[in-house]
Amino acid sequence: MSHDVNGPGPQGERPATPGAPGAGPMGAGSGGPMGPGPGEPAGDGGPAAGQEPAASAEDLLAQVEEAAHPSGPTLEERTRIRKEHGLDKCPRCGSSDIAYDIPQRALVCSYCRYAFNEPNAHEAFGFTSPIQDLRGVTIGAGSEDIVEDQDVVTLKCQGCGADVVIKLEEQLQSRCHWCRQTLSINTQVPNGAVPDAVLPFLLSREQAVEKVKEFVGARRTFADRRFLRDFTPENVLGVYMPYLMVDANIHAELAGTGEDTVRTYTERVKVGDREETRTYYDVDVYQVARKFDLLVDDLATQSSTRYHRDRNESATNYVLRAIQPFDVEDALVYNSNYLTGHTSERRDLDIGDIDEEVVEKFLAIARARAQPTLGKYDRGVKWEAEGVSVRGARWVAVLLPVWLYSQYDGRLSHYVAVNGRTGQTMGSIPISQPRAIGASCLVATIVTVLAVGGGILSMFA
Amino acid sequence: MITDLMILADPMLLAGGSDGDYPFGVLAAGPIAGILVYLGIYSRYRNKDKRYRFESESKVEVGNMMTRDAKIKHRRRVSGSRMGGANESRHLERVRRMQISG
Ligand SMILES: [Zn+2]
Ligand SMILES: [Zn+2]
Repeated sequence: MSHDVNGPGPQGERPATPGAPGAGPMGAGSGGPMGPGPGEPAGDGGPAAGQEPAASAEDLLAQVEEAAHPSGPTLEERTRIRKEHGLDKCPRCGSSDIAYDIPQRALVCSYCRYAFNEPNAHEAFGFTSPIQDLRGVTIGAGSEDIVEDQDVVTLKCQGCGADVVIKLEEQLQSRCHWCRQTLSINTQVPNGAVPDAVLPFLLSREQAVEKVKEFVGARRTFADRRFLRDFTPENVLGVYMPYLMVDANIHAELAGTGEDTVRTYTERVKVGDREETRTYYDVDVYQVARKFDLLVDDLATQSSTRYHRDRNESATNYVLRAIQPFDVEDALVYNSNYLTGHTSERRDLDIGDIDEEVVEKFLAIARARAQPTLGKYDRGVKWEAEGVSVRGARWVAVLLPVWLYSQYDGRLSHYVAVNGRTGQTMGSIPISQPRAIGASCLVATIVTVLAVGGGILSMFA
Repeated sequence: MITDLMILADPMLLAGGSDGDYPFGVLAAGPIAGILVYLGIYSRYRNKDKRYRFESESKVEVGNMMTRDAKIKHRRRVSGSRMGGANESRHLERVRRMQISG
């Protein structure tokens, strides 16, 4: 199964980089010269080790155009070419001083004011072709191996240990999006993989501040008093969260038993010296099987250890899970200028690392989609075996926009996250125990008084 | 504030509306209402149970549905209106994995 999803290539570890010998004391595959500490997952390996010298973008483009691909360049080639093409400069004046402007919904050159956007990632990568035609596994360059991005730097937060990606020129004033600690330039770690695509923010900072205020405002009564006193919604930070997104052509099979009631009747039975009415059922038992195809479009899975489901059950997990979905079909081809003014979480999980999680998602989808076919089983169906095989899949690494508000209460961090596209908001607010318990006891008392009072009244009725 | 009070109203109706004929019901109604209020506050403030229902809300197309429903036995005088172990709506619980091809 895992092989189906991963396709060619080793799982969980990166192929040794060609030309890596002498890359550093730790050698290739163990993190490179500036590699992360021993506690880091294996998936982090070797990004800084010597990359094969990149051919010029023109050469690559020419190579691909020459190549006799009947269906044009592969997805990997398309994404790789864009990356190495130096598309981070202003197309009109060549300036590299470019930032994403939310009101204009475009990258704007601060020199000549030219506004432009990268093309739609789905179209650029050929993701508009029908999912049912997918065979084998295609992987965007950014989903596969680590290519150094020259425009960003990854800093390890001294406060909470998060790996935060920022634009190179912003490293002096950036803060960690989890704990708001100012990041130090001395804590640089190797960059994670360059993403294939980015979904830019639509919601402005002001709109996000309003959403956070609204969310907390609707939960003041039982909120911790210190939390409310320190609440500073203006501290919200724009963060790009790394996800791996998959389109998949799947075959699913489910097997189990189901029961259908054919007759219902009651009988009087003697229990000790009392008679009771019991209900009985005559049922037909069926062997139930379902086989079907599933075409899954844009299923996104988080690809950072920091909030991976198996590794950290902290508040961030469910808060971020609850603000989905994102309109990933509108994602644009990645350009580091979209990160200007924001931070990004470093992607350190591979397709191999989230493979089992994604297969379980496919199984859950299969089970949900089979349910409408089970109408006749009024007593339920007990699934006993399930399986999926992946006929074809295409993967893309995408950054999704989140406005994140964090506040530390001395023991736990509490977060309010706002979907940077839809404004959907979710968060965790610390509870004032005296208030919550007080209200619970008050209600308990009132209900007891009413119930006892009602009982006494009914005796006179 | 108003929405906060709305969560209070719900469990009150639930527990307060329970049958007051029995002494146990009369005495238990209060504490049950109190616990429900606390759980309601916890859920609304901490939101640990909230998540995106990807299994039903993802963009998915279903095709070539093949069904087999073969009656294997008849059972008489079964008590309980649901079969034991029914899991057709518990999509996130995994069962034995089948290796399949195609
Ligand atoms: Zn320009
Ligand atoms: Zn931090």
